[in-house]
Amino acid sequence: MNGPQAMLPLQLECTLYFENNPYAYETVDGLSVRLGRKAEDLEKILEHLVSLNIVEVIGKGATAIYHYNQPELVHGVEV
Amino acid sequence: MEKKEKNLQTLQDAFSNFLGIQIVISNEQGEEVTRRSGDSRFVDFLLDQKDLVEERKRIIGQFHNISSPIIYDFQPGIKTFVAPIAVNTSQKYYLWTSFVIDEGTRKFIHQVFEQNDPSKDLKSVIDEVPEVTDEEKNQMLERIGSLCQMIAKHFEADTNDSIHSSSLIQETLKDVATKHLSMTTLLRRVKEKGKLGFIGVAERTKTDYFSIQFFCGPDEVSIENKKFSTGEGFLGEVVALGKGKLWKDVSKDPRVAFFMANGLKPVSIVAYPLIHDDHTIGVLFAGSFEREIKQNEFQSFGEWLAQLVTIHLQKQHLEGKLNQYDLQISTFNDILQLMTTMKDVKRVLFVLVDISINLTNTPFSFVILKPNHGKSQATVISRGLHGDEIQQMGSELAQRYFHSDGQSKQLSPTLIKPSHREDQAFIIPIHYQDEVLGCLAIGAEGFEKWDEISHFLSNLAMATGVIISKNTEEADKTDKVIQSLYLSISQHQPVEFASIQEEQQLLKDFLIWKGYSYNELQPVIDAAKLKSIEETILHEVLTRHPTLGFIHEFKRLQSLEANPELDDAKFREESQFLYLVWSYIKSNRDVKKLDSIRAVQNQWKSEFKMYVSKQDALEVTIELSSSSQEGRKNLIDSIPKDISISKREKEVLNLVIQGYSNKEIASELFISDHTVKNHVTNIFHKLNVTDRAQAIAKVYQHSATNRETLVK
Repeated sequence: MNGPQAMLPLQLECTLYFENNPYAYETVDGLSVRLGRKAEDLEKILEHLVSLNIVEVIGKGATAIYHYNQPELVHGVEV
Repeated sequence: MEKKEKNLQTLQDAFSNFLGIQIVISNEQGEEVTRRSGDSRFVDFLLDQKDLVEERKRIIGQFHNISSPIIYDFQPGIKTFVAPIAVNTSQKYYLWTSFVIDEGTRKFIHQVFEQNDPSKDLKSVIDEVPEVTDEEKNQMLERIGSLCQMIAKHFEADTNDSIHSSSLIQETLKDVATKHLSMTTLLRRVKEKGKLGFIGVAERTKTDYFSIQFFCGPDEVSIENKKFSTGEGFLGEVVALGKGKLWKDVSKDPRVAFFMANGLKPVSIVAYPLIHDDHTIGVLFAGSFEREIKQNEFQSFGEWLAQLVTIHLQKQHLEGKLNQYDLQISTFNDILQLMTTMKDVKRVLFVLVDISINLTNTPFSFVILKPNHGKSQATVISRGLHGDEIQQMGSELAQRYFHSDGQSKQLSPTLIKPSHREDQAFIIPIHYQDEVLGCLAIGAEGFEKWDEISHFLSNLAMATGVIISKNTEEADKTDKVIQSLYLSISQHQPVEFASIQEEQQLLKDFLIWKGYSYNELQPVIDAAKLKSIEETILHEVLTRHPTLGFIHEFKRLQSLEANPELDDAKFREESQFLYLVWSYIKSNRDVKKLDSIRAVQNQWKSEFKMYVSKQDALEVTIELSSSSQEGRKNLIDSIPKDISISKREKEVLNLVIQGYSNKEIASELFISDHTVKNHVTNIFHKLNVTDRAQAIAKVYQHSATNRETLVK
């Protein structure tokens, strides 16, 4: 789990989890249990997903809670 | 010689392991001088059938003039690689591999051998011969050529001078032959066994620089990711020369600064270009700290190692591609599985946008859906673009892909420069067959690997197109079935049809008055239309449609009414309303008869009676407008001008009359729920009413007053 390429499968797995559970609020440990993945691997990935605005984080450290950040949905764009 | 043949065996074992094929080396008489490395059931089969020494001798006789590897059809369509190893003018060896067949030819080969293979033994053996593409064959030819060169060099070297390197080669090869070594481990072994200070491999980058990717040196020293260009320093020089070079006493050479900057102080350096397909793909280099590297020490071993490293890099690259391919397939399946379970198209598009961002890490990802026919407002899902940027990108994409006069039929991904942006955008149309349904736009800034992901994202966009199209088609298809069944009643039961028309209109008005949304009331209205049709037929054509439940409950209410002792099961209020309206119409709108209905709860009977009595009062003076858009428009226009309702409020009111909920109005008019609530509150205030039902009644009252005035 070094380079970004090596992290991609787990990154996509996390993204799909949050997309499938848009109302889920998860700690790293909680997500670790749900996905069956190591918490230390998930930490880096969640940090990256937060930087991409796909996931939002509330709080810091072990108690930080992550949840899905829905993309902007705009109706009525004049074309 | 014995020593050399031992080395030869080790080298052959290593390459057999690398290439995944069986290899054996023979002399010019066809006699094997090495043991066969690797397995091949086809070769084992041949050994039972033929004298392979004679066969080799025959083939060598035919091709004794070849100077590079060839592919030989040993049997029609069953090919082997034969490669000459010219050690010197008087000594020549031949390398033989196991067999391969061309991709897609196995069926024809079976046909050729079918008649002479009654026991089908040959068929099962041929089934295990691997199929190869032309590209794979060429790669194997090239690698076998490299192996033959290495073997020849190894034999050419003077025995006394190459004792050190021979044993080093042998030991390294043993490792390679028996284990799947990583590049780092391979280099570390060579460093230790060759008593080197450091060793490393640089690879060519996309920008034609070379970057050190693997390095083994003193602990805590690394020059990984350090770059150089062709011609620059020691390492760049071998790229320019196209051949290896040894430098001695380099401590005062200015070019040694490349290494000294990281605390490495070599006294001699050796470097070799890694050449594949006449193209330098990297550099192998090594250095010593205390002793000079001797010319003969690396003359054979260095070149040999460079070739081994080249093949190792190519193998890694190929494996990387395969891994990526595997990843893409499994990831694609996971994503597709999720998308197909999502009923809401918007959520499917969220996935598309998020996956694009994940794969590219680019500034934005944007999806626009083509508006329905005749509409000019589109829905957009965006990450990274906001406000005006969304409008501008949407307009530009619509111009390119949606407008019939400007629509490009290009459905493949393309890189464009949006007029309003500094950076480029990668556009992937979302289409179903030839129809563009939307577009995915991804910011291209800082991302270079479009070749690697465009196929993946195109497939995902295509899958999205299918899902969007399927959702629309399913809804359309069900509507058409319901409409066809309803119209069939008009043909076979015209009296019943007239009654149903009356009934469903009343039911609809009542449910709207009750505050039902369009989506909530539609299955009940459909039930009113179709309830006279056999349930078995309906289940056949409308599998799991929500209207079936209401029809079933309606029929049970009928049975219960006829025979009250059956049961007292609970029924949904919609089914009870359906039954009430049906009974009411059947009794020629006799309100009194509603009291005698036992199967419906009193609460619903009272509510319906109250509605009916209000409507009767209104019907004296007004004619219910048609449900057409024109009719509703007239209704809204009938509101006196002194009640100054704005254009937007009229739009909202129009939808309130049609039974839309606040949320549905927000979605239809592309405004927030909160804004709708404000508009509705203002409308109530202006019409001097307190709820939706009163507002609707008020509009109808104004309409009726208008009509009366006109009549007068």
